[in-house]
Amino acid sequence: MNIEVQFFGQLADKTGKSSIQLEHTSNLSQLKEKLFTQFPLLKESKFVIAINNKMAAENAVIPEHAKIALMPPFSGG
Amino acid sequence: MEKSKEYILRYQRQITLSGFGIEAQEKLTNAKVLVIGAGGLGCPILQYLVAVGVGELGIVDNDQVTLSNLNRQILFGQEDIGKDKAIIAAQKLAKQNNLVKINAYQQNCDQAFALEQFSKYDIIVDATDNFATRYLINDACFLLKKPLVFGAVSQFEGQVAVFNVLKAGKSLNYRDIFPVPPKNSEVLSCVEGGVLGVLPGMIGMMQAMEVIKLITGIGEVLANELLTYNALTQAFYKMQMVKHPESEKNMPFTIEAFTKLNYEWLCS
Repeated sequence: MNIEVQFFGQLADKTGKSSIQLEHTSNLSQLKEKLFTQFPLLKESKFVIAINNKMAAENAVIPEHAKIALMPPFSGG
Repeated sequence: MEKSKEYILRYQRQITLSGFGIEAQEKLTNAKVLVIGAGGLGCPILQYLVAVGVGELGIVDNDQVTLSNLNRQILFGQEDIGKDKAIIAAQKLAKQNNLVKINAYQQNCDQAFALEQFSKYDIIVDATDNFATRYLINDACFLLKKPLVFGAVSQFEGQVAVFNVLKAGKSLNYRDIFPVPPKNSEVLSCVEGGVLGVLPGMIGMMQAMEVIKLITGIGEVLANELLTYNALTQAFYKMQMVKHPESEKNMPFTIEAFTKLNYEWLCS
């Protein structure tokens, strides 16, 4: 039951990866904990999470085979 | 009104487009657009909006041209170094199309400016490079109910969105994605992170396209969605926005509350 997590912008620099595959996790709070353990630098980063291309609430349920995205704000112009 | 031969000839290639025609062209002629920031995003936005024939364009920027701007700010040349960006941009754009009225504001976009000038325009375009001004523009557009075309970049990636436009019963803004401003130090600027000129060029052109769609009604406007583009992989990612439970808590709902907010402080 894999899920895919994609990192955008600076988050890809902080994790050293543009995406990873993970075992299915039931909700976003658990997923965040997992990600923070694996990539501690994410803890200090601002981002919003999308599940299957839709912004999701803090404790949203993650469907199987979900594509998750961590999207930070960009400021440059 | 009968249009001149020059008008028809100048815009012939776009008037010919199916679904466009003289009606869309006249809508562009009657439109007023304010572009804030004449940098990497602002330059292509301005050049394409002048070329397409937007009737009136405002340019806001308080900076002067520097040598390190020239890798991406393609309106400017070496002879412009040290000169005022808004003034120089207006002079160059006037030569590109004399049918467009251009207003140069060589100044910062602060609360007083937003409250005084935004209502004179139909669409506001955020082509700035810092969160303080971005949140100020977002909140002013929310208060004044102005469509806002947002664009921002981070190294090889860029984001585009259209705010305050009603679509499927929803009208959302930047605070629905990020209710509270990040500190400027939390996110890399182009100065720290670097930027290749083509990327803001592409994001700026996407913003220009959204402006044209908003004015003419062609296509589908990128409202309630955040589009992210990666130049290294040529991949697009669309994120559907939803109303954030905390967006309204942080939004100044009155002119007075807006005027009192210290945006620089919030982001530093």
